[in-house]
Order: sequence, then C-alpha cells, then structure tokens
Amino acid sequence: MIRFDSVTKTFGNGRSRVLALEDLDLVIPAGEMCAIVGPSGAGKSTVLHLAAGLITPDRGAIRIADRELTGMTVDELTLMRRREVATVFQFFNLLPYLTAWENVALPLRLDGVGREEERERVAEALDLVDVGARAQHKPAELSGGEMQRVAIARALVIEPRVILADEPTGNLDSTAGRQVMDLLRDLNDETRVTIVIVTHDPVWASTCDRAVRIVDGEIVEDLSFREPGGTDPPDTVH
Amino acid sequence: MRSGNLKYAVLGLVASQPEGVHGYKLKADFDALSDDFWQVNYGRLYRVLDHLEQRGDLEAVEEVQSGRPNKKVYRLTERGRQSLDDWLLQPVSDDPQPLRDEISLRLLFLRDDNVEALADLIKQQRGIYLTRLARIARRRRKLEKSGVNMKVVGLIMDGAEMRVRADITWLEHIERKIVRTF
Amino acid sequence: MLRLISTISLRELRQTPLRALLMFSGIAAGVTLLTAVNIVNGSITEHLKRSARMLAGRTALQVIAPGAEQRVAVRLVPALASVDGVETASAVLDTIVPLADRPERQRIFAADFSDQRLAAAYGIRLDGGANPATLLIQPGAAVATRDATAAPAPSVRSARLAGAAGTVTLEIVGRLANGSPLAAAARDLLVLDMVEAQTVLGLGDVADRIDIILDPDARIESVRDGLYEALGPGFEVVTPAERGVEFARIIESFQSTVQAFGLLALVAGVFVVYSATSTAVRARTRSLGTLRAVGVTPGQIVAMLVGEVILVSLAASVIGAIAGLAISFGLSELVRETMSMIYFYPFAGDNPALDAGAFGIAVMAGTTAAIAGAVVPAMRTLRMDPISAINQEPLAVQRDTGSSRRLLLLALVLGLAAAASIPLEIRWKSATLGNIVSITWFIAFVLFSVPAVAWLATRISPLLERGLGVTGLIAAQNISVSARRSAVAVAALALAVATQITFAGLGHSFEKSIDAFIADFMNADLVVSSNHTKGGWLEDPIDAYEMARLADVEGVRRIDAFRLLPGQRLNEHRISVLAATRSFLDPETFGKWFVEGEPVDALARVRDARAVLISQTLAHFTELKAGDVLELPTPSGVLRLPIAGIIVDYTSDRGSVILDSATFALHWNDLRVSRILLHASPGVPSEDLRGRVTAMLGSRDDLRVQNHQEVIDLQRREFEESFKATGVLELFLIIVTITGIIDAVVSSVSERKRELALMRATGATPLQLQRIIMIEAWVMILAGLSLGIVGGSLSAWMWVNFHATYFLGWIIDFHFPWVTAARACGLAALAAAAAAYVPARFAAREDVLSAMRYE
Repeated sequence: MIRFDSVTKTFGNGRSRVLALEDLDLVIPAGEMCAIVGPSGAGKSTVLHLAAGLITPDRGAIRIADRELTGMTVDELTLMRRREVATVFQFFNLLPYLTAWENVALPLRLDGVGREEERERVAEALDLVDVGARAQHKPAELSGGEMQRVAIARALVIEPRVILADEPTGNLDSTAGRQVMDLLRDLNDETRVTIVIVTHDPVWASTCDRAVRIVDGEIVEDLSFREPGGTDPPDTVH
Repeated sequence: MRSGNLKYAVLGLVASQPEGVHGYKLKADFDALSDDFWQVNYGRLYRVLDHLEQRGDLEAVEEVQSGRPNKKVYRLTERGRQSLDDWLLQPVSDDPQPLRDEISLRLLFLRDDNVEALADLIKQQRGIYLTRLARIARRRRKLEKSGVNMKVVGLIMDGAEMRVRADITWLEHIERKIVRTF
Repeated sequence: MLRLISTISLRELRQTPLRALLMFSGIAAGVTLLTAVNIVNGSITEHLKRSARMLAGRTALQVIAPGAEQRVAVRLVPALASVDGVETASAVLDTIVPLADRPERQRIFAADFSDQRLAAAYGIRLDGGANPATLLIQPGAAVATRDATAAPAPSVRSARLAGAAGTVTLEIVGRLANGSPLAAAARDLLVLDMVEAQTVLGLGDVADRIDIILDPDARIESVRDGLYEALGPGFEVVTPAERGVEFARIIESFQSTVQAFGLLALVAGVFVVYSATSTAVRARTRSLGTLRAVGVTPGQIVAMLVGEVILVSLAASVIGAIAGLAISFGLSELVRETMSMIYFYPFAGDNPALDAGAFGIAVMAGTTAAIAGAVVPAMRTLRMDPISAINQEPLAVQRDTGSSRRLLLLALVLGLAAAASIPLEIRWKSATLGNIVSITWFIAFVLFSVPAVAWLATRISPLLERGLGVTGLIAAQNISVSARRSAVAVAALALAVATQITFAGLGHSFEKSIDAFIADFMNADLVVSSNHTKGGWLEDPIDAYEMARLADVEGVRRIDAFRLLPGQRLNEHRISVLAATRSFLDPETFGKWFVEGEPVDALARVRDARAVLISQTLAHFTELKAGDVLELPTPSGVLRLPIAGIIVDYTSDRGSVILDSATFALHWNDLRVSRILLHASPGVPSEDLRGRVTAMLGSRDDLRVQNHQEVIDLQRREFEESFKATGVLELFLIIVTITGIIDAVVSSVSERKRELALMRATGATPLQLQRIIMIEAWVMILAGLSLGIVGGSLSAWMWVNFHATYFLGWIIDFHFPWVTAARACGLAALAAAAAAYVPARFAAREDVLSAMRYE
C-alpha cells in the first residue's frame, strides 16, 4: 500500500517558488494498478518521485507498506529502491555501455546477489518481458520498445512490491507503447505487484484499475474502472 | 448503428471464424467487440442472420445436441465473401452527423452563469469516456487471450479507442479554451 | 563496491579513453618526477652512507684532519697503532683522479698493502682467487672493479690517469670479485698500493685518513679517547657510520629542495585529476542519476568515482615509478653535478634502482594526489538531485562557479599563513619550514587563480565581443559558465610557468650574484691554478713555491694568492676558511662587499693577523657579529681572533672565515694556495705575460693559466652545467600544460556537443566553431601565463630572499630570469595552443545530426 497524508511539496525558493503538490491525500492499495493523469506540470511526476524517495516532501507523511518514508535516511531510501520500489522512466535510462543483461543484473549486483541466482533471475525477467533473445545487445542496438522492456525487466528483477513508472510509453510509438502497457497489466494481474503509472494518455490510463487526475497539485478526479460492487471486473479474472 | 451496416458487421464476424459460429457465440463476440454504445439484442441478431441466410451470404448447419435444442452453426458462403468485399470497398457514407451530443448543445447556449455547470459536465463526461476506454481495453485483452484473429479485430478496437480519445481531447480543448477563460 | 566498479567503472573508463589518459598522464608525470628525485636522492645518500661504512672494511674508527681536503701525515700511524685496543692503523687515500684520455674521473682507493692483513681487512678478494697483496705491491699495478671507469671492460688491461706529473699508466693486474665487500661498496673503483697512489697524485707521505682496526675486545669509546690523546688537537676521530650520516645530513637541505619540486609536479597532477573528475561527473550525470534510482547510495557513487580515479592512479603510479627510474639515470648525473658544485665534494651515486620503499612512496603519493584531486568533484554528486540528473538538466550537478568568496578567503588565509611563517623560518633557520611555506604559497596561489579567472571571464566578455564579434562573446560566456574548471586549467598552466620561473629565478639570481662577485674577486690579469679539482668550481691547492717563481717573471707588478679550505668544523657547522695574502686583502677588492664594519680599518687588522672577517652566510647561521671573538679549532689548537667585519662571500654556502695567509700557514701547517692572481706591470699586455708565465711553468701541465675573462667564462659554463636540471622542469612544464589544456578543451567541447551542433545547424561554419574554441583556449593560456609570471616572480623573489639561504646557504640578490621566463611562456603557449587545436578541430567537424542526438 502507498499512502500520502497531506503531502505538500514545493520547488525552488523566493519568487521562483513553485507549488507542486498541496495537502495531497492519496491511498493506493496493495495490488492496485493506478494511473496518475493530468496536464503537464500538474505534479504527477512529483507524486512518483516522492514515492520513490528520490525527493522528500516539505510537509506530510508518505508510507509504503506501512513504512514511513519521511523519517528514512538517504541510504535507507536507496536500499528501499534497490529492494522494494522499482522505477521505470520515460527515457529508459539504461546505462549505454552495459548490455541488456548487465543493465538488468545491475540492482542484483549492487545487492551482492550470487552469480548463479543472478543468472536465473535475470534470464527470467528478460524472458518475461520477451527480450531474452536480445540479452547481449547494448541499448543502442535495441528499439525503443525493447529498451523500455529491458528497463521493466530491471524493475522486475528485484521482485518489487511497487513499480513506479513515469510516462513509460512517452517515448514510444503506439504499438510499442501498447506492448509495454500490456506487459505492466499482465504483471499486475499475475503477481499483484502494485503499479503506479504517470501518463497523460487517457488510453493508457484506462488500462489501469483506477485513474487519479491531478491538476495544479490537487486531486480533482478519482475514477475506478472496476465493476461496481465486484472486487474485480469479471472478465479480467482467469 | 444503422441496420444496413449491422449485417456487414455480422458478416465480418462470421468471416473471422472459418470453422463456423453459432448464434450465442456470435452475440458474445459482438458484445466484446462493440461495448455498450453499439448494442444489439438477440432478436435483432437472429433477424439479421436469417436475412443473410436467405440471401445466400451465409449457410446454416443444424448441430444436434443431446438434451438441448439443436443449434445452428453459421458459415460464410462464397457469395457472402463477395458481399463483404463489395461493402468494404464501397466509399464510406459522408452524411453529416447530427449534433446529438449534449455538450455540443450546451455549448451553443453557453453563458457566464452556467460555465461551472459545463465544467461539471465535462468532468462527468470525461469519466464516462475513460470508463468506456477501460471497457475497450478489457475487451481487447480478453479477445487477445481468446485467440481471435486480432489483425482485423484489433483495428476495429483501435478505431473505437481513437474515437473516444478524440472525444476526450475535445473535452480537454473545451476545458482549456472556455472553462478556464470564463 | 568492487562489483560496481567492475561493472560500471571499467566500461566508463573504456568509454572515455581520453579522459582516463589525461588523468593517467597527470598523475604519471608527477609520480615520474617525484620518483626520479627520490631515487636520485636515495642513491646518492645511500651511496654516501654505505660506501663510508663498507669501504672502511673492518675499520671501527677513522682519523681525519679538520677540513675536507686536509690530509693526515702517514708518520702518525705508528703512534696510533700503539694506542691501547688498536690492532692495526692504516693510512688510506680515497680520492678522485682525472683520466688522461677522456674527460672522466676515477675514484681510487689506496692503502699500504705490504701489510698482508689489510687486503683481508678491507675485504679485497680477486677473481680467480689470486692474492691481492702480492699483486698490488708491484710497481704500476692496480686492481679494478669489473667495470671501473678507467678500465671499463675485462679486456682492458691498463688504466691511464692524469697524474700530478703527467700521464701515469697503471697495469690492471686483477679484478675485484663481485662478492668482495669492497666491490659492493663502490662499483667503480681502482685499488692501488699507497706508494703508487702517492706517486700518481704527486703527494708526500700523507693520507686522506687513518683507519683504525680494533682488538676484538676493545671498547670503541675508550679507544677513541686514547686516539685523541695521541693525536693532539685539530683531528677528529669518527666511526664510518657517523661520517656517512654527517655527509647525508649536510646534503639533506639540498635534497629536500629538489624534492619540493617533485612534489610541485604532483600538485599539478592533483589539478589535472580534479579537472578530469569534474568533467566526468558532469558528462555522466544521467548515468549517475540512473544508478541512484536503481539503488546505489550517494556514498557508493562517491566511492565509485574515487575508486575509478584510484584505479587509474595505481596504473599511473606504477608507470610513473618506472618512468621515474628511467629518467633518474639522466637526472642523477645532473643532480650530482649541481651538488658537487655547491658542496665541493665529488658525489657519486649507486646505479639508480627502484626499491620497494621508493615504489611504495610513488604509489602512495600518486594515489594520494589522485584522491585529493577527485574527492571534491566526486563529493559534489552527494548533492546531486537524481530527478534532474535523469532528465539531464544541465544544472543537475551544481554549476561549478559558486563559492568564489570561500576560495578567495582560503587562498588569503593560506597566503598569509605562508607569509607569517617566514619570520619563524628565519628564526629557526629551518629548511623544512621553508619547504612547507613555499608549497603552501603555491597552493594559495592556485586557489586564488580560481576566483581570479571567474572574475576575468566576466570582465573580458565585452572586450572579446568588441574585438572578435559574436565568436568572442560566446567564448567568454563558455569560460564563465565553467569558471572553476577553466580556472583549474589556468592554474595548472600558471603553476607550471611559475615553477619554471621560480627555479630559473633562483638559478639566475645565484649566477648573477656569483658572477659579479667572481668578476670582482678575480680581478687580475692572469689566474694560475691547478688543473685538478675535487669537485665544485675550485681547483686543488698548489704549492706556494710556485708563487715565489711566478713573482720573478718579468712584467708581474703584483702577485696575490688565496687558499680556500672547505669542510672546516666550527661547532656544528662545516665552514670554509679563506686565507688571503696581505696584498690581496686591500679595500679595493674587498671594500664594496662589506656588510658590517669599516673596510679600511678592518682589512688593516686582518692583514696584521689581529682579526678575521666572516661571511654574511656564516653570520646568518651562527649569529656572530662584528666585535665578537671567533674561536676556530685548527690542527694546532684553537684560534681566537675578534671579528672585524662581515662581508659578502660566495666561496662557501655554509659560511666562511677570512683571514691572512700567514695565520693560516701557521695554524694549519699548510703552505699551499688555491689560486695565484697576477697583475701585469703597466704597459705589459696580459697575453705577453701569459706567454712568459707559461714558458716558465714549462712541463707543469697540471697547472693552468687563465685571463680574467676566461675565469669568468669557465665559471659560467660550470654554472650552466650545474643547473641543467631545469631541462627536466621544462619537460614537466610542457606535460602539465598539454594535459591541462587538452583536458579543459576536450571537456568543454564534450559538454557542449549538442550546443555546438545546434550552432552548426543554425549556420555557424566549422571554422567559426573552431575559432570560438581556440579563443577560449587562448584566453586560458594568456590568463595562465600572466598568473604564472606574477606568481613565479613573487615566489622566485621569496625563494631568493628567504628560502634559498636555508636550502642552499647563499645570500643572493634577486635577478629576474628574463630569458627563461620568455622561453617558458613561449613554450607553454605553443604547447597549449597545439594541445587545444586538435580537439577544437575535431569538435568543429563533428557530424551535426549525430551530435544533436547526443545525450
């Protein structure tokens, strides 16, 4: 579960001060796939970056799986990102000189996971995102969709509780974008990993369980796409 | 949906199942494909099927089921394939669409004092559209998993999605241009 | 951490080979110079200590006369041998003789080998097991080490030496066995019997020292007391180790000066690393942000960046250490020559070798320098905002301009601290403190240059715009945007130029001061002196008998002479004694060099043996003043005379006492003189006089006759030889300049790749871009040169006026080294311009589209 309690975040200071979020309350239950939508500059990404512990709020509390983020040190936050909360970015952010395999293995290596286990988990993650055949290629030799899938594999490989995706389709054409969204949807369906996606595209938002619309730092709309009454839409259960 | 186009939609769906399809399955596919804004009931569907069978576009085979009434399985005939191709290749009708959308109507009568009401309406409408998109998305995934040939069906789903997306874009455009400036 | 380095860092380094190479060469250059200096210093010191100890063989004590070139009469041997506890007393000659055919010199070692025990006592064993004693006592026989200078190959069976009475040919009757202790002590040695050596050197029955071998159960201290009693005043009895240590101590301050320059080279390496790391941090912002996002802690990022630099610096240190070893072969010669000149001692050195200690120091120093350079820019990533880093906003890692005020303050504090330490340096007479002061000063100077360049960049932008149009404006903006990095390049360049100017300034001031002194002091028509020298510029002494003969030559109006005896002990100091004939001690020659005292009266008292003069250097070291009574130990007791005045005297770096020849002859029992100065009668051309003098000297080809100009020229030549080491500094200057400028230009270009491509796309020609980049480079070069000249002049002035006294012992006047400064500036400017040209050209011709896609 991700929980924001009266979270306020501003950027800059003095005259150039910008209010990104104001007293934001938001609960994303465990296992939910939630979209955060809204016009650009509305504060969508800020929510994500706060949840990833990449920035800290001015006021308010953020909890992930009953752990308070605001009190954590930089190293603790880093450890959380390494083991529990994975992030996927619009521009993939793969390291250009590492192969797909090495990029995915990176968080495991950081965590001192053994070679044998690494081989197993990385292969599994790459197969899951269907780029197993391109494991030994460098990012420059991959298509945009493949790069993003490698980035997702890097997120998956740590078996996270939460995946935070910041405009994961923003740099992809519609076909590749759909593949990425399908992949995330499948992951959520199959592993119940909590996924938060920032997007400005209503089509991608609608593939989630829920869409939260943020405008000027405030939630103006909170839409659930689950069938009323039921726990899940009947046709997404297998 | 105009009944003229409905029969081609039925022809198209039957055509995607070369081994044949029975009426009940056809209705389910239709629902999956078309969502609530493209409703068809069993009665209307069977009337269309009968009509197509009489015209020789479809052939029907009785399938015997134990303990249950027999079931008709429809298959596309050569003539049916011809009709479908003819229809696919004929130019799309360019009849103007009526201004039946409530928002369009309200826009015509927009005043200072009902901007807020319009904003609410837009928000509500966007919710409806998003929900509709969510349904399309679910249908698409369900179809993908059911093994339907997505080449054609996927394009239809894309069309539905793009229309709703256009509507949402339009709503956001109104929001930017009018709601915020009033 | 290791995995992070092995996964990320190695690729990163491979990805940017140029940056790695820059860092590498910055550290390697510094380590090379430092290692070379350390190896040379070590080899000289070790050689001194070891050969003093090992050449002594079983000798426990050595009897020496005060004064480095004073010799001991062999007739003392029986008396010493009968002292309680003494097994054997052995007179030894240990000196350097010129070769007859080549301008090289050979060290010779001689003892009385008719005493069979001595060959064994000195550890002389021959190849083939022949008995050395029986071989050596044959007339004209010598034993050589395997590759002695005089007989460099086993096939060479004779050695030709320039003896006092002409060429002497010795037969090499054997070679020292490699395992022989004597061979280990001195690899380049000719062993002779005492009588043979005395003949070659034209000496009477004297030796350089008398070695004392003790009875097995004798106590060293009681024997020492017994020896002192037997000898009477004026002698010293020391252990070989004490002697080695004392030598090492004397040259320590010089060595620490040389080391200071090595350290400065490493300081320059620190800047190169700083600059390269700053660039790396900026260029890798996005990767670093990504690493943060996937779970690398800020601390790990810093550790990784520093780890990379350590990796490079380890490799650079190893290569630097090896390169240092390579150049130390050449440097050793230069340093020894300089030292011989300063200390009047023929320094030898072991073959330069890289031992574990020197290697460890090289690696440690290189790594420390690398860490020092890398830490600050690496720490900057601690404040990196990962979000903007990922989105690659240009200012994700702090813009590198800020905190000029802090730097300025730091520079000021360091500068003031250095200035404030100078009085302490003077009070404690501490060379070490001088070293620290001078390095602190350099660091303050470099720190200062950072805000100075930032300030300059803002000031010159309108100027550049007016002069060079829009290209000038853009160039100025680029400099100010990355002011700190540009400043570091400027500072490195300035440091290199300043070092060069400092060193040259010191040398030049030294040369000019001594030049003027010699010109005045040697103001005679002809100067007669020995052809031999034991090192330094002053020749071996000659018999005073020659003086009487020369006085009779027709056309000689006046004849002066002086004797310079270095190595005289005064308390803990090693000073020189300068004994001048009465006629020489006239106010005309000495008058204007008086610092304290009234010349006419003071010189009159010195002539009458009622007083002495002391040199300014001695006064400085001992705090003796005019009017004090000097107590100087001599072979015949302590000489007590009042000090009549203090004069400038460059004959000794440790200070000198000036007295009259008669007093010297009386107390030192020595009638020899160093140089004889002849003044021609009016109307007699000096060349005519030279003809007559040469004719009279006849066969004495161990003597030379020079006119005034020749003396000065020889002096200058010797001096220039001695300061050849500046050549190494020049090389260093070029390396630092090239790496610094390449680094600055390459990083500024790679950072602005996109921007440059955009300018190309909007219509800038490659030539215009190249021009912008070159303008930037030239602004940096000119700023570096100006700062270097100012800083170098100041520091040279400080060295000349303060540190030089403790490092080298001289009190000299400041003379600005115009020629060297101009050459250094020209060289640096050329190197820098060439270094900037290549990356500028590449950048300007980069493919526009691919560069715009660059991220």
